[in-house]
Amino acid sequence: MKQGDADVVVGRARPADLTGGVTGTDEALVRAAKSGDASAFGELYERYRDPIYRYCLSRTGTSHDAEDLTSDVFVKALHSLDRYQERGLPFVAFLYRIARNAAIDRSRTLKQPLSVDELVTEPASRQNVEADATLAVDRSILLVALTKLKTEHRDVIVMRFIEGYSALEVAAALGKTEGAVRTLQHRALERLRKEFDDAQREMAKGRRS
Amino acid sequence: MNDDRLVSLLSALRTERMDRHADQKLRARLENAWTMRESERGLGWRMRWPVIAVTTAALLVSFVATTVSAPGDSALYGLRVTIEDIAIALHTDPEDREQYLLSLLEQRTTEAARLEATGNALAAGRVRDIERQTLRMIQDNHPVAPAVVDPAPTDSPSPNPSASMAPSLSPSPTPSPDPTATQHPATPRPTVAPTPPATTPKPPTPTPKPTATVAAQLVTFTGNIKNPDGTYATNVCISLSIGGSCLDVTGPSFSVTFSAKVGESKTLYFLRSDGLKTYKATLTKTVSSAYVDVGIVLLRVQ
Repeated sequence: MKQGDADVVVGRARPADLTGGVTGTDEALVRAAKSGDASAFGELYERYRDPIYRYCLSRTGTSHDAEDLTSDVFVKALHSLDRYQERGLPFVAFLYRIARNAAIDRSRTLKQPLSVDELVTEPASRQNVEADATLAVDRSILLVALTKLKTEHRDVIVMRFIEGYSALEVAAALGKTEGAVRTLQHRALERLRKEFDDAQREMAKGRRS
Repeated sequence: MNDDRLVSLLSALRTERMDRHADQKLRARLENAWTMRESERGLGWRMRWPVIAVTTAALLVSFVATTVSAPGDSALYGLRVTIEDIAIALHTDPEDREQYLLSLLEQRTTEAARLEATGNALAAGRVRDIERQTLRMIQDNHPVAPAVVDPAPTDSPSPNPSASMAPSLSPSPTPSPDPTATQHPATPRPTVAPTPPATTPKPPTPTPKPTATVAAQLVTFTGNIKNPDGTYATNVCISLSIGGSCLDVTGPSFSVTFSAKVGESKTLYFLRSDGLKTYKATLTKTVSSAYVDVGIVLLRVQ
């Protein structure tokens, strides 16, 4: 290859490399991404893609909508990366905040609330295809029940019981005290159980009729 | 549904993963967004830096403009005086420098008077100090001309009894005073024809004195002003002519500086009004030195 050819290759616009694989703390990766390191942002995406997807799933109830919402969340995160400042707010909390706002925006445009009948026809995720039918039904009912919770209840449930964060971590992410998170968690579980039972009854009624 | 069952179902959701195809689609979308973001950032910076440069320059200019017009009671006045002092050093030509110093003196005098009129004694005192420094600089800069240029009379009898202004003894048929030392022509004297040296010297004839010649210089009149009732007067306009612009608005003590020649008579006009009555005084003094203390000036009701 001639020298001139090499220059042309370097000068041509190349797609960003978001493959990830970079090690380091979230803070270091955010700093690198801010300074233009695409692979650092790729690594952040790898780390938080599934947790954010699960959060979105709890908001939308369907995997298809959750995928779309997750996509929106990461694109918004990329665009607002320069505005993110590590003032005691972990990057994941920043992502959850974007996800919550994106979900609220999306729910405004949603025409009808989700019904159980709609969900039971929704296939289970590909990794759960071997799970038994009961579990699949319960999962669907649970997703419907989650979508009916208040935002703060759902946030606590997802972060505490699905993602396994400690009450202290959830408190930091939501800007609340640890005690407030524990109280919220108690009420959220009560509410979720009620919504789950209601959804279960509704489904049984639908099947009988 | 009990809590354990519910928590167990929630935990089962932890195994949920994003679909591989959706992941690939999202990754491609992010790569495009990243590329666009990078190009926008580069363009954004290129467009931003001239704005930053212009804004900085505008701020700098406005700061300098604010500083050079800062009043005496402003925190920036010290900086303004420093800038003006630097500007003095930049005036290399003595005449230019003198003009500049005179304008500075006028500004500072006016500023001090203004501050005194508003009752800000602290700032006024500070500006008065600066004004005095300016005056000293003017005096240092201004070559003080001899008050009277008077050629030394020849005490010893001259072998040539003819009147001679030049200190040299060389006979001169038409002696004349040094034209550079006078501003006014000397009194014409009769031309004396050279005479042969006499054996018996005649007593010297009295040498006619040339007219005293002086150059204008800065003169400061100082004093105190009192009202007709004997109280000290303030806010008095001092001018060099009736209805002329105030050299200073001050009181009870005053210190006005103007250009005058030694031996010249100068009249100062004092004017004060309290809204009901007008008080005036006129003072004529002969300039004897650079500083003249006129004592107390008593105002009278017009």
